[in-house]
Amino acid sequence: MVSKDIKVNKEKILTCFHYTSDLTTYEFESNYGIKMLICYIEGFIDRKILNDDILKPLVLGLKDREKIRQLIFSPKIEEEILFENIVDELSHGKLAIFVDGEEKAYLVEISSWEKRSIEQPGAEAVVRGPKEGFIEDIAVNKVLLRRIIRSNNLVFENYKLGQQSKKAVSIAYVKGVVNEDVLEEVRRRLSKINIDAILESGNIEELIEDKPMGLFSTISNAEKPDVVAAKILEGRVAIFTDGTPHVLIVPKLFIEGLQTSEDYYIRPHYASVLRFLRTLSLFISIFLPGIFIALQLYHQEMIPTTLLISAAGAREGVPLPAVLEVFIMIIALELTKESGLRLPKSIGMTVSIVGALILGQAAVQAGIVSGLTVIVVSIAAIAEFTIPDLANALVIARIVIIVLAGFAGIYGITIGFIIMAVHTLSLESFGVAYGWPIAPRDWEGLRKDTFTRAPIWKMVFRPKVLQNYNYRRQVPPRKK
Amino acid sequence: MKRKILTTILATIIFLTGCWDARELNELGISLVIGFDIEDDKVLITAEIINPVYSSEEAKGDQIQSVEYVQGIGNTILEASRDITLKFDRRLFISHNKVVIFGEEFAKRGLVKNIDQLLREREHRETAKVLIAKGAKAYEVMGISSGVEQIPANYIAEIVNNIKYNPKTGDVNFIQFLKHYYHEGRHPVAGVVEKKSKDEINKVGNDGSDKDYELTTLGMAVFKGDKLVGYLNGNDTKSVNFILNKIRGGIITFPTPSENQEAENLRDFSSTVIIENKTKRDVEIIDNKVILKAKINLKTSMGEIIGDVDVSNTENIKKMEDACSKAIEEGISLAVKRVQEEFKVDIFGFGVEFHKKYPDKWKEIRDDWDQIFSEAEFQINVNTKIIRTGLINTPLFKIKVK
Amino acid sequence: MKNTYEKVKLSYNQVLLLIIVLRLILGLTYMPVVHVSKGNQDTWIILLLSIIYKIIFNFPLIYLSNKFNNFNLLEFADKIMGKFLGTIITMFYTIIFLLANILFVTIFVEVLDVALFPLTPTWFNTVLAFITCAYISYKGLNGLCRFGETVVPIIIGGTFFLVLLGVNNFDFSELLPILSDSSFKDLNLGAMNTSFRFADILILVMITPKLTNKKDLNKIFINSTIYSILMVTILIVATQITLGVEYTKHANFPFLIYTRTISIGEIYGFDSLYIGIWIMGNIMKISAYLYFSTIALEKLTRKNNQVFIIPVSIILIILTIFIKDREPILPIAGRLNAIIQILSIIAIIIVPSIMLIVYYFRRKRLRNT
Repeated sequence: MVSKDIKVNKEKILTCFHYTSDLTTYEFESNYGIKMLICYIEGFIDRKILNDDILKPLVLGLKDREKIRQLIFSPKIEEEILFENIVDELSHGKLAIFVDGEEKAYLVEISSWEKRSIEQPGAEAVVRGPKEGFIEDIAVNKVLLRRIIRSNNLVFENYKLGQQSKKAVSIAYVKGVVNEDVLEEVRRRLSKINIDAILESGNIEELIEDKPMGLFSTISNAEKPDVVAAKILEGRVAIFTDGTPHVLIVPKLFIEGLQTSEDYYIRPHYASVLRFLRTLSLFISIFLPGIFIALQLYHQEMIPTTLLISAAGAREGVPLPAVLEVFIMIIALELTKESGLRLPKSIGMTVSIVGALILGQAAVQAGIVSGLTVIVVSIAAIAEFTIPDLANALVIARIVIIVLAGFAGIYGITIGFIIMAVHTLSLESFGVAYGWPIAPRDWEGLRKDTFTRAPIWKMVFRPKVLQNYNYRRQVPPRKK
Repeated sequence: MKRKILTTILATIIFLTGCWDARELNELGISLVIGFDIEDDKVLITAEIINPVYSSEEAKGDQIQSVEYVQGIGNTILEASRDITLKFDRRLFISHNKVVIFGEEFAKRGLVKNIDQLLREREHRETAKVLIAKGAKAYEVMGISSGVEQIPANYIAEIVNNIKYNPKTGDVNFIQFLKHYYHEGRHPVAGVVEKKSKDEINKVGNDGSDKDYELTTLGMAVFKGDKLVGYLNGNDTKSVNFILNKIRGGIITFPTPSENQEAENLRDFSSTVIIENKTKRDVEIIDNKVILKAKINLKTSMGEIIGDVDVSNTENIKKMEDACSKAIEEGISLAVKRVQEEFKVDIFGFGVEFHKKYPDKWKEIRDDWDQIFSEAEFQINVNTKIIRTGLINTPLFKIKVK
Repeated sequence: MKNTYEKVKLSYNQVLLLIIVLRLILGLTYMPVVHVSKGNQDTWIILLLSIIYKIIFNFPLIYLSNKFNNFNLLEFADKIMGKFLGTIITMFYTIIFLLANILFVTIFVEVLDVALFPLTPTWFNTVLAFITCAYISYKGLNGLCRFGETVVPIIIGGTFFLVLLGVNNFDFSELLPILSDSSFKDLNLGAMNTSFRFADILILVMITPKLTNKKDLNKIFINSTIYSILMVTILIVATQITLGVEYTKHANFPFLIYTRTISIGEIYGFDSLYIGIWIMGNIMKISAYLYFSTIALEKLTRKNNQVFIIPVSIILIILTIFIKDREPILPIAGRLNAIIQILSIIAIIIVPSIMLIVYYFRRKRLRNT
């Protein structure tokens, strides 16, 4: 409870914040003799507004305790009695004004802090399409989204998650299009979160997803506002988190891993070719090293004769069994990838040269690996980079397939494929079947947007699985 | 709890066990051709195994032999091939076999009964071609490489594949051999390989005696049941291929039908190149006599003309077609007669046609079919069509009117 | 571990593809019709005739299933025959499912051992197969049918692609002369024989309550019969005209040998590719039978069906190793041919006919249910 004496209030605030050094408390007196106390956290406040719009009028003109609201220029002033809430709001960047003799405090919103400028996100680069990306400030992110969907049906709902972090989390949806069951489920799961800190949207993802131990993730994330806008206009729900530019979007379908936003801005035939290429690279990345091992060890009759002879010749000097060879190459590949991420930019060039040399020529010539192995593993790696969305699962799947191929040839690969396929197709993301439109088959979805991209004027309906009603998206302009 | 048990079982399975069937590439002895012989009443197997160091990068300059030969002896094929393992350091891998050569003695003993192992195990390819070594043992024929290919097996395989350029050879693989063997009223044939010395000018290098010989696959082997009874020469083979509808290309050479019938012209021949061929076999019973019929429809293009015939003129084309047909008819009649008299086995499949057309009568005469075949009359009808004449119309030596 | 049996909704396509693959794989594997019946080159006629016989003989089950389309086979057995007889019938069908399972697994392992891995011990292949099937059974009908929907077109497409590749070696004259070497009576016997072999009607009537649209049952039954038998006919004809009628009889696994004769240029090993496709179909079949045997056990003992998956798998693994490590399976299948026939006749014709007759008499009492 706020007391009338500002000295008591000052003591209480300082004790609540454990005398931290970035809490500033300032007692002053107006020209008419009224004592006031302002408290704020350093770095959250815009100094100029504090001086000009708050301190100046108060110091110059405060005669009457009741009339503070007529002197301060700020669009949002709240009055607060309870100390816990004042402490809470101070942490969120508000300014607290205590007046001697009043039993309440005024909370003024004048925050501004340093933020990153809007730039193209590193992980989702496009050639054609908007190049803005989200930043860490949730207010700016919301504005970026609203600039794309300028409809009054775009709704945000706020949550605060984490007891210590008290992170601001908002869900966004378009009313009238969104799937009400999914929305209800999202609200329910978010309200069940009871953890001490949320640091990134990845933590939220793990806490609310359906099968945390599954192979593929059932929640997608995006860093660009046009991607998020396209997805929530199909009936999905977006979850913004303060402090991270990655926005979560639920529910997710498996085929979304094969789609990029650029597909919809370039010509449909070329986009279909790219989609096809990505589907192919999914299979190549998972199965190619395994098939290579299985053919070498168990099914030599499938290899054309001339290739077999040169492969046998290449293997003459190599000491390691085939499975171990491929494993060494994959470990070397992962080392290169990881070190490439963590390096300071100045040594980046050296690493790529060293890596290429070590993994390439020198290893082959020293007789540790055969040339064919290097080629196969490199192709699998290049294929993995075309689909960054599913890349996390690919690496694990690839290793499992290699082990199975080494022990049971094509039988092992088939078993691995069956188990992965059954697992993926029985996943459900917030009640929506993960394998749609492939497994609960929907011809409309398969033809229009899975392995090929139909022209925009042909996509008349939204994906049926994401909606309860309201399927039609457009009236095509090119009616015959 | 269940998951833990399952994972431990799985992990122990995977890590406690080895891989029983995994064969590294450097444990295999890849063989591309195999020969079977009879030696002292036992089966002798000769395998030609690729030396992989030969094809690796380091060894390209040195004089390393590209193949190794290894032999084994046993009572049956399986025993003989396991005998090799005690003499050679790699395990025999025959999945890439393209050609199997049988010695003449082996073929005379009976082929189908003894090759059970080749079809029962999974490694051997059923599409390997069957060749009989004419008048020699199989191992004498292997090891001769006088073409461009470094590996002798490829040399043999490519020669056999050349049936599409010259149909004077037999192109039979195991499946076809067995199919012909099982059909009632039919006897199988097989291809032939023969070692001949090169009698042209010895322009090729003089390193080693193997380079003085070359292989030829001219001709065909005739079987009665599964035992070898004889060979056909080149022209007869071509006729047999015609009747069996196995022609995929080739040429027909015949004397040029020109107007002036001088003695010189008897040396002038023309050739046509076969584009497509369709043969229909038929059997008829007239007055209790069996008549075998064959009708051939041929599409050809003009290959060469030596002689005074101007093919820009449709009459001349008709003359050429007739001459071509006549040449084919003569050749085929000769071949059928020879088979009827010399071998007395029906390798053409007329018995099958009889069975299709008169199934009830077939039940009566099926045991005597070979006898009936060798006494039956043979009628042939060839219809040639020349559909292209190439880039030139009149023969080169004539000067056109200015 | 939730019981996933209750909330499953299956579409027409899914069930159709599932039943097709169940029938196709048996015909594909060792082509019993070639070995057992007396048709030589008229095997295709036998197969086409068996469509008619199949529809006739399966009529009681389909009729009953139509009337009780919210219950599966075991449940309406209870309803019609009463508790005691219903339990006996359930036990009988459980044993049928388990026996069918053992038969398929032993044939599966035999083909693998012969065609791919001659040196690997039996238990390795069996254990791997059962791990997969147990996993699919955990996921329930949803997982199985969605997987089927994705993969069965690939299986069918792959098989026909293999048939197309061998077109060069086709020689249709092998099939002539028609009807001259076997009598019509022989052909009919062969057709009846064949129609007993496919016991997959039992799976269909167990799935019935899960269909979204119950009227589809008849359509699924007739369509799956016609499609699957047409496909098996095409495959058998292709094999016979490439390999020759006689050699097909000598071969244990004819279609496998057919795939060994096709080639694209230098590449020869299509039998390994075919085995990959075939393994997928077979695993689906074994999982389906495993799953339904656990459902039947669940009905007997009223426990959740997922509890039974691992014990049943372990028992089946032990039995398979016991049988396979002593004798090769195909001579056994030949010897047990009579027993298999009798069991199929009882399971598909006699028991449902009895139930049909009892239903007829009790119709008035059951009309309210």
